[in-house]
Amino acid sequence: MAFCIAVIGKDNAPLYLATSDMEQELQLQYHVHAALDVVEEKCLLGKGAPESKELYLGLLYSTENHKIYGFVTNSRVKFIVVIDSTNVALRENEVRAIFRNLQVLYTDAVCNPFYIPGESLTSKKFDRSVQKLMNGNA
Amino acid sequence: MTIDGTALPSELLVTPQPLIGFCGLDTARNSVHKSVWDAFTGSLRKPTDRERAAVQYKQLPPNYDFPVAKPKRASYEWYHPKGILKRNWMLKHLHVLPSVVVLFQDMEWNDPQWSEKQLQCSALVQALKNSLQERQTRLCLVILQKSAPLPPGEDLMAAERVASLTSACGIPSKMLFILPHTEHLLGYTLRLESAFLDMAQSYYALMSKRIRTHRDQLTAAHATLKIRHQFKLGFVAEIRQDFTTGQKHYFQAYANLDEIRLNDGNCMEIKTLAGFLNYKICRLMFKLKTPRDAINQFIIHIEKYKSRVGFKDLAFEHFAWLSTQHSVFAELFCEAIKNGLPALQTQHPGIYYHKAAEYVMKRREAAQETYANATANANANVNPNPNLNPMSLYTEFFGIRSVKMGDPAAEQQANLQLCEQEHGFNYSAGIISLLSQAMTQFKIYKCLRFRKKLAIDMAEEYLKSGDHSNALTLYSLMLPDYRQEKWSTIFSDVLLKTLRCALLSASVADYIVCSIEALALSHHGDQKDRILLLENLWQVFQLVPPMPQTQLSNEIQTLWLNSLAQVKSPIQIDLDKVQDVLQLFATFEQVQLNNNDLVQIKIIVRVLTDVPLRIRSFHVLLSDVAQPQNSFKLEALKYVCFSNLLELRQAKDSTTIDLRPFDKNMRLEPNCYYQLYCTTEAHQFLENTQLRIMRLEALMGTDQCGALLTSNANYIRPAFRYHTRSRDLDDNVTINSICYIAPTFHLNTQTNLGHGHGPNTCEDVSTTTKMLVNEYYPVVTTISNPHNVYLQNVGVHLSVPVALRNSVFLTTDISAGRQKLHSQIQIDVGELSGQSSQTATYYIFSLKETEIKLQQRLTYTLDVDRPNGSTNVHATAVQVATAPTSSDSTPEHDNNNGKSMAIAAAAAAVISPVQIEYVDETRLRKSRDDTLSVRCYMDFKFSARYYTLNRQPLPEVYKGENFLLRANTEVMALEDIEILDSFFICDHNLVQSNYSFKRKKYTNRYQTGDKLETVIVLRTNATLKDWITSRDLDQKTKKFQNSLASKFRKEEVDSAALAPPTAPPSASLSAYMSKSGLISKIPTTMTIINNNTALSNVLQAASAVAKDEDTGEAVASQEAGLKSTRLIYNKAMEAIQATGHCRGFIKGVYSLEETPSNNPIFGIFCIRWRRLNAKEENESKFTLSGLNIVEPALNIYCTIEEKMFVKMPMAFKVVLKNPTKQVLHLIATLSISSTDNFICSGHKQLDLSIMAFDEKELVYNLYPLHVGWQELPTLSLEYNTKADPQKNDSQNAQLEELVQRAMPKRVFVLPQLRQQNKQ
Repeated sequence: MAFCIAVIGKDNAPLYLATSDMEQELQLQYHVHAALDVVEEKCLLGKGAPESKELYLGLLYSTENHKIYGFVTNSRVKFIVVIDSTNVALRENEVRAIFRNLQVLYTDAVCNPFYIPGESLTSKKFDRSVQKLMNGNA
Repeated sequence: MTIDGTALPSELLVTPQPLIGFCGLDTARNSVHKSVWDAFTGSLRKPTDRERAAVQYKQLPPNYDFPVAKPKRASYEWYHPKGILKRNWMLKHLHVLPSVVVLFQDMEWNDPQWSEKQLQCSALVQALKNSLQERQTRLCLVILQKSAPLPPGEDLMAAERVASLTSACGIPSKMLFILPHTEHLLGYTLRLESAFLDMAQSYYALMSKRIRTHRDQLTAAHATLKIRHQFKLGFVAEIRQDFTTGQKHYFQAYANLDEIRLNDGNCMEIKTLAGFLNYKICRLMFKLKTPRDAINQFIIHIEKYKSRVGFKDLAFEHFAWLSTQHSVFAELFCEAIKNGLPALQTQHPGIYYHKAAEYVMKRREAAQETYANATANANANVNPNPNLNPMSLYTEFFGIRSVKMGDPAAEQQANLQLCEQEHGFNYSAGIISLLSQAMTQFKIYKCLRFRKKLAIDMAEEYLKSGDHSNALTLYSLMLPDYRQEKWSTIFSDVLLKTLRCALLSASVADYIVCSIEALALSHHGDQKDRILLLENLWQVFQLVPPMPQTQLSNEIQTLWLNSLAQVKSPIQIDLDKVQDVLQLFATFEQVQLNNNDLVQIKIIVRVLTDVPLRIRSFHVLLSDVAQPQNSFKLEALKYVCFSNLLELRQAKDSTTIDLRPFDKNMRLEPNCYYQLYCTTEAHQFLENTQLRIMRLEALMGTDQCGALLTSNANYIRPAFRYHTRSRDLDDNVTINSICYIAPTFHLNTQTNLGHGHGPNTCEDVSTTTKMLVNEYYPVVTTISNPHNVYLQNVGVHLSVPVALRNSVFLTTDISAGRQKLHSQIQIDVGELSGQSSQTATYYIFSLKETEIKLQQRLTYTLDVDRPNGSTNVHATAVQVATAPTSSDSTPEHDNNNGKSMAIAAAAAAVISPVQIEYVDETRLRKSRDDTLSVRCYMDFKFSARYYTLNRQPLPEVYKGENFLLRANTEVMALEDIEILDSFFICDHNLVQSNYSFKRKKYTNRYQTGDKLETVIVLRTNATLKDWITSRDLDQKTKKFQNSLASKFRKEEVDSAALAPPTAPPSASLSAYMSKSGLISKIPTTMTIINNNTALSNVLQAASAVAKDEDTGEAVASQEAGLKSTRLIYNKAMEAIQATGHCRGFIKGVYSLEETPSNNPIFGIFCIRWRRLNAKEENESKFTLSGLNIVEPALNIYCTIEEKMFVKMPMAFKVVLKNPTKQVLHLIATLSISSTDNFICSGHKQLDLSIMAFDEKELVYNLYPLHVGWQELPTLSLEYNTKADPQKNDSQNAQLEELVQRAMPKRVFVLPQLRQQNKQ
């Protein structure tokens, strides 16, 4: 369902990155990294009205094979999801749901007192849940 | 000729415009023709002129061959063209076949050879007509004339000749134009142009009509022709500037393409045409401001044809086509943006350029695959004819090759040929140029990360193309960005590629840097890889080319050898950026050091990767905070190894650490903590500075080639801590990045307060005496130099804080007559050789009971060798200092030191009590500020009140009558004191006499709380306004000098109406000075201070004891501009201008109150005292303010004998004195009280008349009858109203009051003395 799910810290360093296709991992990372351009631009635009801030950024950009969606938490942690662009069945609502679930998972993982903020997420539970989410059966 | 599909033909890319051909213009030779041509083509046009229609003019040579029109077919039913669009069609209509042909002729109406010219012209017209047969091309004639034409209808000859010319040429008269080449040429050409344009429009309209009729004849089978006609219609519409129609036709043509079934053979043609049509559609859409539609159209177009590859062998052709589609669209997009279209971050030309580049890559892949197959086949089969001309495949239709359809052999042959051709294509150049275009676009639209990715792609392309150095540059530019963002996967990918580039381009520095960075564990790979990296790295350090897995080619080997020969060692590597390889921290062992201590620095090193590293040496760079340009480099010489942080922490506490010497190229094992030690002597640095660790350096490699790993020494605490204590370094080691070098102050001071201290006795502070008000309190400061240093200009400066300047004073000398008081004093001690001391004594004097904080400042200079700020480690010692920094005996000093230490520890700004300044190169002045605090206590509590003789409180003083002053003193001093004497110095205008006749004797010793009382009788003979001031006295004295006081008394009487009985003439004054008992009573010198030189001369002449004029005087504060000099008198008599027995004028009035009252000062009460067993005498003085003085109507003096005995007669005398100028008539009545305690004789009632200033005496004899307190007979006075009728009862009441006040009421009668006498 999703090619890649990435959690990126507020200083744009990746905290977690999972891909379904290991061969494409590097390419996907490049894509996710480049998507941060769009995220930054969108966040800049959203600065005007902080009250009505929408966390879901929508489609960041799309390539032939991928659609890249973005989400920014209030603590400026970014979630990026790369989705197969040929999969027409996937609706925007479902993407939103993925992000919502991801946020819950992330919050749980970060609430672990042994987790040091800013370090990459190594929680196995988080990884398992994200893998599930990626395969569409979360 | 390029292959179709790799590029669009140029005729497609230009905007089609109507073509108009000009004949008969000889621009080369005829200047008129040239100017006409220029006017049309625009050389004369103004650049801002946008009114001109889009027209293309073309000069036709005299015998121009117009393309021959093809014969019309009767039926198209069986006509099947070989292709959709002919290559030459667009070119023909754009550049070859004009819509209008204009013939220019020079002809004047009045030309004498008119007929000849007309003939010539008609021949030309005819020739043109012949060549334009079958064409709808319009022909018109323009006659160039020199003069402007007359208005129509006026020039008959012209009208006639026009008619003949048109008929001769066979053209309608409206096709004839006259162009006068006057100054208005441009205007005429503009009008002509619009006429031509109309003709062109009608030509093209006709053309499209013809095409439409063709189309209408077609059947469903004519798919290709339909497309062709639609294209043509669109093209013509575009020429006619009818863009919407054009777009419609193009779109129709594009839709019609779907009707043709695609196969491998026609795939190329269809795609080519689809590309053309798509291009035109998008172009027009952008032009018509519908960019969204254009983008959508393009996306749909690509989606539709992306999968139509065609021949498998020619897949590269498909990718080339796709690439071209994208790049061309990107250009269109760019063009549209230039014309004002706003683009978005997610939708901009860069994306399409990037796609184009990607397709070029795919094209290369496909081509290489095909080529590999082809060559493999070719070896087996026939060799393709190498002499095959690429033109041989060329046909007159777009996208069609001259290959027989359905012939597989021929097709394969053609494909092979194309492959061969493709093989020569420079893909990399194409990719790189497309990528660079994409990069510029991405930069514009703020996609910096995307741009980085493109740069990486570009670098990869350079790498592929063999341009390693360019690739290396690009890669190394991108490295920091990815490193900073910590995308480790991407980063390690880029890093390894950079390493490869560095290897291939033999860039030693980059190779070393990348190798070291690649050692980090975050880069995926096995330990094997890292060991290999390290081995190669050491080979490079030993100037041997590295040996990677794949052996280097000879070429690269030599390249390596060359670059290794000229390597610049060492290569700097910033460890702050290159993370996770080696961790370096440094800390000072002490936060604060003295000048003579050792600076000790610990370096903590940890290898973060899993391979051991050899480090040649470690260095620390120190610098002075104040002067950052001074830097010092220290090498680590000793080390200890710890396997983990916990050991490191434990080692901190244990004292026994076996330090091992650091040998060169020591092997640092991974995951161990190495603690290295650097030491140096602190005296090389300046005093009073903070040392900061600037940089840590680790040198790797050999002498010839090495890497210098530098690290910023600032330890940055992580924002969040590990949950185990053993992970964070700063949990286990304190990291001091700053070390303060405290200055050495070479002087110690010990201050002894109070009395009873010899200069050499050292006693406890608590036993010293307490300071009292009005006391010269001695302070002995011992300044000692415990160091072996010779100090010069040693001095102590003391100053009173500003707030206390009016009440606290300092002096160094209290010997008689030298008591100058100051607010600040400077005691120069002079020179102090090593291990010696000196004392300085001074005195504090306070008028106030308060806490006194004196500022003490010690200064000295010494000779030094100033340390030069070089990096010389073994600089000579500045001074030999053996003892630690001075410690002081007073607690304040300790406090100050403690405070300064705390501040230094907090690494705040350098705040030290010691100030250092350089007098010159070799002399240093040091000073230290301290505070000396002394508490001053009260000496006496004093209060005074006035009473009448009847011991009633006195509200006001009556002139000429006695009253009592009762002065109470309470000893407040905490220590026992002796009171030597007390006296009251009253004002000159007052007369004092003792209340009791016996002199007051003081006991020797008084303690706190002891009370003393003194009663003094005072009298004044003048009311306040008649008081003589010291100035009056001066004047009198002067007058006396001048005129020997002959008239003195008289004047005095006149002015004051009263001669003071003790008025001091000068003679009496000097007499007093020399022999008065006061002199003997006050043992010290006494001087009258006055600035009047005349008087002082007199005094000096008169008195031998007179001393300097300023003796005993002190200017209390040195505040300039303060007019009133403040005087403090050491001996109370000096406070007054003495005029008589304990009398004088009070001179310098000191008062602690802010606002002195208006009441006069009656005098100063003075107590001389000293501490028990002390020699120094002190005086406490209290100023008494007086009361108002009134003049009574009558003075009554009553005299009774001091002692009365029973049955002894005594005199009771009442003196009445008239102080007024009037005569007083009084009746005096003496009434004896009811009890018979006295027998009285004298006038019981008496009428009195007292003359002015005269007095009368009433004398009674009293004979007391009883012992004890007896009521005296009361005397009553009243005015004699008969003699003086003005007086009334109220005045009598006043008189009664006077009597009540003055007359004693009772008397104590003693028993008879006779018995006592007998005994």
